[in-house]
Amino acid sequence: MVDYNLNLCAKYPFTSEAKAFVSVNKPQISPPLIELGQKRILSALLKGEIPKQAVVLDAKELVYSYAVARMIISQFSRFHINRYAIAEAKRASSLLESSLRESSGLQDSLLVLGGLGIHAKIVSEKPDFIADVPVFEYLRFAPRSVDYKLINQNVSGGFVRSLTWHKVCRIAEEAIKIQIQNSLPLKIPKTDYPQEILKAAKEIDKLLPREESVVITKIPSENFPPCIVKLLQDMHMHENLPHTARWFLATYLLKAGVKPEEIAAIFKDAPDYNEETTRYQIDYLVKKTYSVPNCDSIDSYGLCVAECGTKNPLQFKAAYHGKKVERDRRERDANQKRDQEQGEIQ
Amino acid sequence: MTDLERTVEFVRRKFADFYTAQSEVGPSSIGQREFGFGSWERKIETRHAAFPTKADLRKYLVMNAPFFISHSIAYYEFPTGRPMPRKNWLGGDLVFDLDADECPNHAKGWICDTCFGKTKSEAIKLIEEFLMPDFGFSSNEISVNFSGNRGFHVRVESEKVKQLDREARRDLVDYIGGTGLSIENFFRAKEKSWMENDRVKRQLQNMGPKPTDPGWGGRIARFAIDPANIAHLPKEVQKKKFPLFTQGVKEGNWDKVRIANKETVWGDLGKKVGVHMGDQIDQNVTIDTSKLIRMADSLHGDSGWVAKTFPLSQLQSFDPRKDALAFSSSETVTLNIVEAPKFLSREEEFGPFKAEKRELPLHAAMYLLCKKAALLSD
Ligand code: SF4
Ligand SMILES: [Zn+2]
Repeated sequence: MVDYNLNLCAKYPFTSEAKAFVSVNKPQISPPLIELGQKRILSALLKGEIPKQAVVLDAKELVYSYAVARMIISQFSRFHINRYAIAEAKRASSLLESSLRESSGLQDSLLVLGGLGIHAKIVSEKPDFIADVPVFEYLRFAPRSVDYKLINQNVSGGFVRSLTWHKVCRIAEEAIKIQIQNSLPLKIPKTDYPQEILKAAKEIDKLLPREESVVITKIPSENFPPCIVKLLQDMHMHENLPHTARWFLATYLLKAGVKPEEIAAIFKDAPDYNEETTRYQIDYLVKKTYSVPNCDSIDSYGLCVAECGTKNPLQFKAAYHGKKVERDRRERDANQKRDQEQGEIQ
Repeated sequence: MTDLERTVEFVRRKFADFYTAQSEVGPSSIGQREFGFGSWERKIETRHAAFPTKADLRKYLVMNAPFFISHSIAYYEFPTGRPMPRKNWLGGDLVFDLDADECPNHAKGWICDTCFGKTKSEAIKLIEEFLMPDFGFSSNEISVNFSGNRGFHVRVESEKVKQLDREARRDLVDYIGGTGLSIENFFRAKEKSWMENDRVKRQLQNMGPKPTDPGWGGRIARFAIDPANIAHLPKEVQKKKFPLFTQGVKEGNWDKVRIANKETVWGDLGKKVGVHMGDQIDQNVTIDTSKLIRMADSLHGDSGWVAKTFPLSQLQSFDPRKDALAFSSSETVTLNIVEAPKFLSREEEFGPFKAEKRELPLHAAMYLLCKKAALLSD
């Protein structure tokens, strides 16, 4: 008889230990269990997060609710699966982050990290936690944002040095997300699922918002350069765009005179969309007034998709459509000013 | 038969002879690679080919003697599958393609000591200043081969890199090329918001990278204190203050000399160091995991040279004009040469030629024929 660390399995139900536990001690699919699984998914899909709720449930129920949730979410599209995986990963990484406060927390966390393919080496625990992570593990899992860009880390001898625990947990979050995404949908023929699972999926489906994403008719998209058009299309297809891509898209749109509310509507299609965060981020951009990066920078982000012969994406209109577009832009600016004066929020 | 047809036929026969004399060619895990072949006119004319073994590949080469042979840096479950997703990508090597820039000393496509020497030092820099110290590769994980024409391929075959996706490879290329450096990240005070004591904080604000630091911090510091780079530094430190400045930087103190807008100044400095290091790398070969690359130890149809693999230790001294030759000097060929600059082959100097008929040893003749600078004479 194997001894399972059920508490650990409950926190991190994607580990091989948790999987082994479930496959040996198969859960009885009961209405309360289904309900727990549904809650997990609904919260992920509607709020973008899964409550930690360790106190309310016992460990076994938590592990089982995850197993059932996986069967249910397997009935949904890739978009929903991705959104669910992101929420699971967030839940796990925030548990990891607070784990250092517990007595065996570090040991346990390192175990979980190792299972994800992250072999962090602890450098110091106090006063600040610092760890080194092998550079290629870092490259695979680090979030694609300026703060995590490899060039701005201390890299030597095959390791990214001196990472804070927060950063290690963020890297783990990405690894968890990828692992969950890749393991779903379950490779079970639809006909083999218990009726209860299919029914549970239908019930969730009814609760999901139906509204089609706002089609942005007001934005004169024929004036956008190919890189922006591509990002808008990707966004519409619910692709999970990297941070730099979102930042570039929002910065460009703001500069091109698109209203913050319209931009927020575009970002609704992101699989990890969260209304509050998005609004906060856009407000932040409005305040910061970043300038739109030049084409060669865009190219280095991997986002340039054509050779427009412009130096900056904002010049695209001028380069291609000449004066007419300039006139359109002036007209739009004038309209905007009028809108503002009339205090219209749109 | 036109002269051109006869020339193409001649070169093809010589290529076939070369492959007949070879015992074994081909990349590792050959069965999982996609192959592409090029003609006299196009470097890649057909792709999506595959060979279960090196012996199968050799048979094909002897029979068809293609002018260009490339294979995927990726490993696929079904290398002949189309469209791409059907191949099922299993992973890929990490390959850097370093090619000589255009050179004022000669027309496009030729090489001289200057442009080739520069490419060579970029390759050495890539290996000795990045791949080994920062990324921790040992010399037996890295292999180099001559590209067959004007540069080098540096390749890392390791489980560690196999699974890197496009985004990760892009990040790695940016690291090596110096793109996206924000120097503030290397000044320690930035992150330490927990510090209440202002005095300590002020002191720490000065704590920047030292020349002995690893990674980019150290690299920028070493660049800044090297007198050879003084022209790139801000005016404030260019003259008398330089010694004071360098003394400070050696201790991690970048504020010994007051510099206006220092964050931007040092950020821009980063860019300078970066571009200088990165402009030789054809980044797409590294990033695009579906790219094909010239097969090592195959002939290059634009030079008649071998894309020779050699030990790292020979990189410094490698000279394709004697080390990558495939053809002998015992046979001679008569050519009608259109135009060619002065060039070296097997340590002998030839040319310059302009609209003339010449009898040349085979190795030099093949070079001109492949450069499309000459045709067989009758
Ligand atoms: S050239 Fe500039 S504007 Fe055109 S696609 Fe590339 S980044 Fe966009
Ligand atoms: Zn040259």
